[in-house]
Amino acid sequence: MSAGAFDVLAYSADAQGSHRSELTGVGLPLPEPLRTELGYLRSRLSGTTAWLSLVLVTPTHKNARITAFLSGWAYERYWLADALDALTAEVGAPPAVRVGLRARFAPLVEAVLANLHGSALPAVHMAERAVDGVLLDAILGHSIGRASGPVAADLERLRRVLARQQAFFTEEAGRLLASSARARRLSRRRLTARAWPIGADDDPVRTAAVLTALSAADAAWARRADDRIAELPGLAGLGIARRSAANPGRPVLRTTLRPVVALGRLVASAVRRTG
Amino acid sequence: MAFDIDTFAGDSVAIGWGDLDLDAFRTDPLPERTLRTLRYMCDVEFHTVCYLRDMLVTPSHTDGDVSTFMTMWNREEYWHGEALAAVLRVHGITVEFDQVKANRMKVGWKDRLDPIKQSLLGNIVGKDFIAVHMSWGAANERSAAAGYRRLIALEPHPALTPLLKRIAQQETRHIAFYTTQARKRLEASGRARAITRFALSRFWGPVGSGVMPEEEVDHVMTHLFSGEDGLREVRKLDEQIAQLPGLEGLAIMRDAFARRGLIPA
Repeated sequence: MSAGAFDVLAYSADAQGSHRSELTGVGLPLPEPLRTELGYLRSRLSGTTAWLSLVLVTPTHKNARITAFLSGWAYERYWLADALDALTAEVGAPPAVRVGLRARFAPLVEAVLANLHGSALPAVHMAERAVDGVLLDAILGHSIGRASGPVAADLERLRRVLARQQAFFTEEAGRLLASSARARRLSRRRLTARAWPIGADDDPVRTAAVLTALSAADAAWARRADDRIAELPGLAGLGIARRSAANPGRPVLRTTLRPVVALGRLVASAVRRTG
Repeated sequence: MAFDIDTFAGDSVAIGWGDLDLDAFRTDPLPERTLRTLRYMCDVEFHTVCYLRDMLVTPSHTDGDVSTFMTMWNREEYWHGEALAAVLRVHGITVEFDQVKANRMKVGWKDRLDPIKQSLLGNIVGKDFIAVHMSWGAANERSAAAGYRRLIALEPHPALTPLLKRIAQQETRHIAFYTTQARKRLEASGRARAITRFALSRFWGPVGSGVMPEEEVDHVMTHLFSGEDGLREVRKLDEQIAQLPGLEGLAIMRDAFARRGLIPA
């Protein structure tokens, strides 16, 4: 499989650090709904280490092109979150990360599962980020529409940084999904088994508030987002945005039989690999 | 030693070498032995993501300062790898993404089991496990910085020396973070001191061991740390680690060298 066209080296060398000296809207009053929305975006943008803890225990960490990109990506996300702190006048430490049993053991479970799913997982992880990017872009677009001139200009600046990251994830996901039917099947399954955006399951109340406000302002946002997601190979018809808007903070598809189904799939996968 | 994480993050940059005349290597190339050591250092810097992974599966990443540090540290180390790769490239040695990937693939089952082992230990031991990682990181960063210092002394070169000094300078900031964190956590908990002492005395090895081939580890350690000057660096590192609370009397680098048969036990 050939490497993608995205220039990872150039990206990493040029990764955007602190935005504070360029921001023009710092100190301007923000309407409370916009403040809430930007605070929510800040949490999603800063949750890099939790996601990396799940991704790096899998074969994705073997892919040097992806890990090189992620080193610049995590750096940029840190400073994007910092810029939102500046605009919303957040000071002090961010809210403590909730570390429940599920979060504590998630990397362990993922590391075990990685040995079964193997080489299909990088496609899943890239698709996860591509889907997340579509949803965050929709929320950020809504924020820009609500913001005053200087704040809107600052948010547009942040959006451009996110757009460059999205170009990598879209290209990489497209390439990896196109080359493997197994990766496409696994991606469909895993993308619909989780809540969106990434981190929404730990933040259901704010997710509901933000997605409800988004839908109230623009009833067609979910359809447009789903159309973008459907452009990725094998991901048509998942309805991730539409279903997330209908049940914010909850997995896209829910079934009480999910654990049983998941166990059955794991056993079948193990049998296939050993057989 | 105080460490301000916000200042560290604000000052974090990808190391640059555009102002250095790497073409000097064309007329004054590095010897084979040094290139082999540089290749090792380059690979180890690129493998930082593997160390990052081992920390992320433990409670370490839920600490805000640690999380910020790891974000900046991972990027800085990645660029150390790129800088060394640029030197190797002038000598006709290419280090591409696919080769780094191939090296990571070679680690095999150990690599698959490591995160499971780390995660289990992290969850069993809890927050005290962060002290192990911070002390381990301090030892790793000190040994890396010592390695760069030794190479500067062994191989004076108008293009290599300033580059290695820049890398060593960033490693010094990493040492400050790890040491500050380790000291604070070791002082606060007898259990952290006991577990850290046990882990470092039993399992610590030179940076790159466990990831790089054994013969390459031996080559680099012999190249950099043999002779009286090299052994002085070994003793210095051991003395610095032994100053951490609960680690008095340890000589982890000397013991690791003795286990490898590089110095008498």
